Order: sequence, then structure tokens, then C-alpha cells
Amino acid sequence: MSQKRLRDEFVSRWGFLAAAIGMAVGTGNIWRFPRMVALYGGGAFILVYILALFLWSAPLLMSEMAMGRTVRLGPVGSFRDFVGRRATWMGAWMVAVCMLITFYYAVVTGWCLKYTLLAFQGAFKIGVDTQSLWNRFLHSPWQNLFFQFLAILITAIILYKGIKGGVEKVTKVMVPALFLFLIIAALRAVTLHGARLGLEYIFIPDWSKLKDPATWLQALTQSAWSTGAGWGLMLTYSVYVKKREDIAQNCFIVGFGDQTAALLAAMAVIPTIFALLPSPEAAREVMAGSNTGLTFISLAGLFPRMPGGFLIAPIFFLAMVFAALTSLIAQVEVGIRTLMDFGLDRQKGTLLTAGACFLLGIPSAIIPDFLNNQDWVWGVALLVSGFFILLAIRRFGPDRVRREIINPSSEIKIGRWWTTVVFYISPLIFIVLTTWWFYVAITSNPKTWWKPFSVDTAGTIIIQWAILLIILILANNFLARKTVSLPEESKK
Amino acid sequence: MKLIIWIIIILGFNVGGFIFLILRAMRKKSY
Repeated sequence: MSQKRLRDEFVSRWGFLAAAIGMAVGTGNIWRFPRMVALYGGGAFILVYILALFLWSAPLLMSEMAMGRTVRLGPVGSFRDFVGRRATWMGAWMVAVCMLITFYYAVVTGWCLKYTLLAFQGAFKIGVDTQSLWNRFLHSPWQNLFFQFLAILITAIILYKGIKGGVEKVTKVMVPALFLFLIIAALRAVTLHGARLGLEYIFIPDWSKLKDPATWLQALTQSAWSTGAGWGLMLTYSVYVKKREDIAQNCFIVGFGDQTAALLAAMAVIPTIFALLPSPEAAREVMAGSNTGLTFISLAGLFPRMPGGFLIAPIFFLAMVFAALTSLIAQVEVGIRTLMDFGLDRQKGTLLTAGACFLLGIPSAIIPDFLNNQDWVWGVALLVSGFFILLAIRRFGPDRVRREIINPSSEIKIGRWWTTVVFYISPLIFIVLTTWWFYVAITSNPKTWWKPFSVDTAGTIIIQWAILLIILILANNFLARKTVSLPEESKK
Repeated sequence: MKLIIWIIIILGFNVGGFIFLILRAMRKKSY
């Protein structure tokens, strides 16, 4: 049997697409996107969000896929072989940021598991104080640890079986089920008496909101985080695709699929909130609150007041579990792939990565503010990861990537616009977004912004990024040496 | 009426685009 046939890879195009769509669709589609739409001008926000797909997310997804499919190594090896030895630390930054997010994302997945269980048990009844239910759970370390462990265990079992035997098989079921659940929840919500106002909040554009820079910046960041562009996830999954797998069309499918899931979630959430809360002001207040407040307090409290809510609650929370798990699987795979590139086999890589996710996620599981801090610090760092991908493509030559890697195997031929976007527009978006982020962080806390040990200051970002950067730059040569070099034949 | 038009525009582009691309891709399942 040839080396080529021994490779663990996606058997079908649909298998890869299911895994990649599952990677992109996460909890952010369900609990953040509906809030952003309602707060930042409905249809006007959506139009900017669609624009962001073409100016940031899709070009980055294509870039990642081009790198992973060409080099056949995870982010660390891809940067070494695609850009040069001296850039290995950039790939390591991508892996580190992705894993630092994974440590607390497993805790978030655990929350979804807990609430699905509660929904199936019929725990959400009229009169139940969902606020205190959530507070009790959030401040119960043992429960958080148990559900975090459960989330990692499920993920590890799937990844232990590999891409073909685990990831592809599971996501081919979970992703269509996720869309089906969202459709059912959306149909129930839009047929509620009083749902029209909620639909107006989603779809009718409030053009005045386009004058507010926050609308543009929130739409761009929502797209960047939601599609998984710049995380290293698409790069890692692309290691397992066939050599002639389509890049352009697949990446647009992932982008459009991610947006479709977000719109379905908005149609499930916003009409429910507007139809079942006593006033539009109360609904707006919920939307202006937090992601967890919307999901685990407001919606959990509203489902029992909805006709058929006893069925919709488990369906909705199960959709959240599937969204979270299919993203967690992709994130943990980034760690496993990196260890496999260091010479470990999949089984050892899975055990080590899953173990690290559990142990290093413990602080987030037992201290809510620790989780909030990590979310604040590494969420923004993803934009830097995306920027590194842009630098890699710039170094290789954007037009060369387009003509020699993307277009020869893509059904949709990408025009010169892609080169312009990758070379000029996406880097500009990165500069504007990060500058804005730091500007807001500093101006909203003018006296305390520099504090390194606060939950959400600019200072805590700077210190944690600096520590990571110093470690990775010092380890650059070690990482470049440690990562295997593949013979040309095995890349085919 | 305004609501219906905007629902058609946004869902038509997004969901319609997604379904169109998936169906197009499924003609060529693997390589």
C-alpha cells in the first residue's frame, strides 16, 4: 500500500465541508450574532457583515487552506515551509492562541451540555428563577469541572479515532442536525404572536447606524471570529484534504454556511425575546446585556412560556451543544496536529492535548473572572493570527498563491480582487480593528487601562501577549527543528 | 411589505447562496 493511501484524510468532499462548517459555526453564531444584529441596525449590520466575508473572512480561509493543502503540516510547520524558518514562531503563535481559547471554550461547551441536560429534564418551568439557577451553576466549581471534563472527553474520543473514522463521521451527522434544529427553533419563534417586531429588528435596515463606527467594527469582528478565519483551524483541516480539493468554492460555502446558521439563530432568538417579554424596552435591555445572560437566563426563562416550549428548549440547547462541540473538535485538532508534526502518533497526541485542555482549563472552570480575562485577551489575539496569515501570503506572493494554488483546483476562479484584498484591504482592516480595540480599552478606563492583573484592561492584553511572544520567538529554532520535514512525495 | 422585501433580499442572498453553492459542489463530490 502506498504512503499516499495510508494517509488519514477526509474521504468525501461533503465530509470535509461538514467538518469545516461545523468548525465555523459555534456558540458565537447563536448567542452573539443575534445581539449584535438587534443592537447595531438589523439589516444594515447584516450588509456590513456580508461585506466582511469578502474583505476578511473568505480571503483568510482561502489563504489558510492554500497553506495547509500545500505544506501538509499544521500551522507551525506551514509557516516554516511556506514562509521560512525564521517565521516558525508565527505559526506557533496561532497554535498557542487557538489552544489558549480552547482551554476556556471547553468550559463554555460544558455549560451548553449542562443546560441541554436541564432542558431534557424539564427543569425550565414557569416560576423557576433562571437567574439564580445560572448563578448557582456558575459558582459551583465541581459542576463546571464535571461538564468541562465531559466536553473534553467526548471531543477526545472523536479525535482519537482520527479524521476519517472520527471527525468526518460525527460532523456529517452533527452539522445537518444543527441546521435542522435551528430551522425548527426559528419556525417556532417567527410564528409566535408578536414575533413581527423581532423580525423587523433583524431584517429592516436602520441606515443611521452605519454612521456609528461601532457598527462596522462589530460586524467585522463578528465575521472574523465567527468564520474561524485566522484561527489556524481551516489550515489544520486542509492538511487532510485531497491534493486537488477545491479551495475557493469550499471556502465560500463555509462562509455562507456560517452566515446562514447565524441568521437562523437570530430568527430563533430575537422574535422569541420580543414576543414573550412584556415590552420592546425589556427586549432591548436583554439584547444589550451579555451572551450568557441572553441564553442561560432570558431564553431559559422564556421557553416555558412559549407554546411547545418544552420541545423547543431541548432542541435549542442541543443545537448549542452541536455548534460548540464541532468547533471544539477543530480547535483540539490544532493541538493534536502540532504534536503529530513533532513526531507523536495521533493517539498520544490526543491524550496529551486533551489532558492539557482539561488541566489548563481548570482555572476558567472554577473562576468566572479568569475565563472572562482569557476571552478578552485571546479573542483579540485572533486578529493578530489572521494578520500573520496575511504576512505569509504576502511573502509567498498573493498573485502566485491565487494563480498557482487556488485557481487550478477551484471551480470558482478567483480574480485579481483577491490579490488586492489580501495585499491592501485585509491588512488595513487589521490595523483599524486592533487600533480601535486598544483605543476603546484605554479610553473606557483612562486611569486603570495599564493594570496587568485586571479582567479586561489593555494592560492585561499587552503583558500576556508580550510573555507569549517572547517565549515563542526564543523557541523559534527549536520549534523549526522539532517539526518534521515531509518529503515532496508525501505531500501529494 | 418592507419587511417581506428585506427578508427576501437578505435570506435570498445568504441562504440562497449557501444552498446554490452546496448543490453546485455536490455535483463534484470528490477528486
